[in-house]
Amino acid sequence: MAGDAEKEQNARILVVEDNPDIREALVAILEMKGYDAISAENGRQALECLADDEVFDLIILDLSMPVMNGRQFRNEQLKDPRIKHIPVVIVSALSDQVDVDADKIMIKPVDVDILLTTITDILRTHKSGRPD
Amino acid sequence: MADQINSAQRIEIEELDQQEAQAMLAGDVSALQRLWADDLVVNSTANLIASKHILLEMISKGLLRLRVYERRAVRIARFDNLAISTGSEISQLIGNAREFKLFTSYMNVWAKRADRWQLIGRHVGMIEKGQAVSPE
Repeated sequence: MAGDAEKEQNARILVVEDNPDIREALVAILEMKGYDAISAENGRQALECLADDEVFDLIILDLSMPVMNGRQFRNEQLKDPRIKHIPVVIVSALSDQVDVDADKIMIKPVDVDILLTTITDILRTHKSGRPD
Repeated sequence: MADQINSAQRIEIEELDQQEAQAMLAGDVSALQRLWADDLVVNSTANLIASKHILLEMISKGLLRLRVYERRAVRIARFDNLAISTGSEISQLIGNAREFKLFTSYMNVWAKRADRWQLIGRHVGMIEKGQAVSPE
């Protein structure tokens, strides 16, 4: 449906990544594709973003980060009923340590075409919890 | 085994490398359309693997702009209708608040198809990220 496609393109995505080169590139690509992309440098900052405004449709999460890593963030997210439903795509270099509950796990380097397809698929199948 | 490469063949690939670097620096989408194969695969320092269509869209929308871009081939090898050039690059992406000089290594893979050389693969690895500089 056109309405659904429009909603997917306007979806709000939180990019949680400590490497500024990767973070800025991901945000630029997502915005280029019509998403509203917000970034956080670590899990703590991501939780603060979500506390201020829990209306996100998807989270792209790195695992290895200072202050609060992706695993700790995911544990905190799943404890909070306001934000636990938000789907998570893990993007990690730690190919031997990705035993984290997530909607999708991708190992760096990430194929941008596959990431964008994954985001579209997840947004289509998930209830975003975002008010209409 | 790689073929023996003569100086004319080396110069031909070096010139392609330089044309491509100049097109990137100028944001010349039509030149890049010509120099890049439709099935080009690029693995960048941002750990993102991108296709031609994504890269051209980023360049045409001004999301990927370079202030500095220099390339120096260290070795060039030929394998029938394939050529590999590898060496070092210095680049500086145009940013809003701060910019960094990136010192990287690269490997470009060129293929001769229908009598025309096109870039089919590229990998860039970070050697060192320079100090932040203010945009000029």
